[in-house]
Amino acid sequence: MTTRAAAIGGLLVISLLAGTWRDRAPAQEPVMLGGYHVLAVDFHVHTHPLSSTTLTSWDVVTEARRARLDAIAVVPHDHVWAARLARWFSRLIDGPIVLVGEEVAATQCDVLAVGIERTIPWGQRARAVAEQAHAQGGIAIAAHPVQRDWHGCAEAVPVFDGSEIVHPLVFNGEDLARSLRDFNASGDMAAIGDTDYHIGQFGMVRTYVFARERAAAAILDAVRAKRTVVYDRGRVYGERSLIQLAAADGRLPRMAALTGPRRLATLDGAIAIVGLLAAILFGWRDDR
Amino acid sequence: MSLTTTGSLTLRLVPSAAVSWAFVPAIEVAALALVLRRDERDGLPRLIDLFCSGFGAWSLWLIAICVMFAVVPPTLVFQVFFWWLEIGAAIVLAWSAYVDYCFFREVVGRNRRSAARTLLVHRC
Repeated sequence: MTTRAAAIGGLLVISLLAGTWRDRAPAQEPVMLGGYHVLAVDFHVHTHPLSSTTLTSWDVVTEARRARLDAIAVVPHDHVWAARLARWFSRLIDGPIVLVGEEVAATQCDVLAVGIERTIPWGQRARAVAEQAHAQGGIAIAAHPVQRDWHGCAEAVPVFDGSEIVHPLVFNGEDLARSLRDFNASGDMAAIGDTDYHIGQFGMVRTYVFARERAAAAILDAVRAKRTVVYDRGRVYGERSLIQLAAADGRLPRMAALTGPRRLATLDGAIAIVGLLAAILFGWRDDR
Repeated sequence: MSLTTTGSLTLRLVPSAAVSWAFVPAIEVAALALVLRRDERDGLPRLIDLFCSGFGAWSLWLIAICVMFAVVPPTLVFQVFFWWLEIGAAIVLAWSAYVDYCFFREVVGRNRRSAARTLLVHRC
């Protein structure tokens, strides 16, 4: 082994050990409010492969636990097997609740079909997709319904159970944020906050669901009954009485602030980047 | 994957990402073996080693994404990321194509036209 390889390898090993040491799922007290179990849920999580994302079905489960999420809906693009794999793995390790779902590319509208077991074909009208989700006992959520998707999503408003009112798109400008709010206000739909995880900070946008019990079916029931609250940098959306209940209690706003968007920079991460850059720019071997 | 999600390298994510993304270099190497003529495959391990050293451009592009997610505020990161995904990738695509063209020309010993054709077939 050359000196250079030892130095680069050393940096990477130090970084890996430090990162692994810090990588622990934080303990989280269960929250009960008004007789409901308040569960932090991200209804829009993609998995590798086939959904242009970075983490596998088992990685999203462990990452959800680290991100203090009680449940995630794994919604691969136009298939469900990766979601079923995530659910199987989560049950194996006693992880968070995994709802099986699919992000269905409907005509001019993306629909999150959550709580389903079989793939719903893409390319249909949004209303047909939502009805098929309901037929399987699931719920249908309008995914990032910004202005360009309104035409396709609008016809399904009466049958949508919820719509994404906070999504990382809101960080791109007030126009997009208003678009999501206006769509949600156009019908009787639960307020949903999702990360649409492909890359980056996991669970930085989430929905607090007021469920009668800590179970997948209860989460779906709560969305149907619009018992949700979503926080976005000082703004709050959802069922008014639940927002007031949460504000009076104070725990949910604090939890939301703790898990909201933040820079991911760490010292050990910086050491890893230096090591990787050195490996690329100078090579592992002295003879290069 | 680990750096862009958590800002750190962690044993929870690194091995899994390494295995689940191994198909990318595997396809690159398999495609290289396919486009080389039989007589050019002598010393294939060395050729693969040299070919992989041309991945530098893509590696830098990926590291830039890690840095981006670490230091850019989350409220801005996706705007920067999508710009980098399109413009940055286009630059790196051209750069890595040139590096691979030089590989086929200088290392494998193809003439200009053959090196360009092999590059195209390899990319396909």
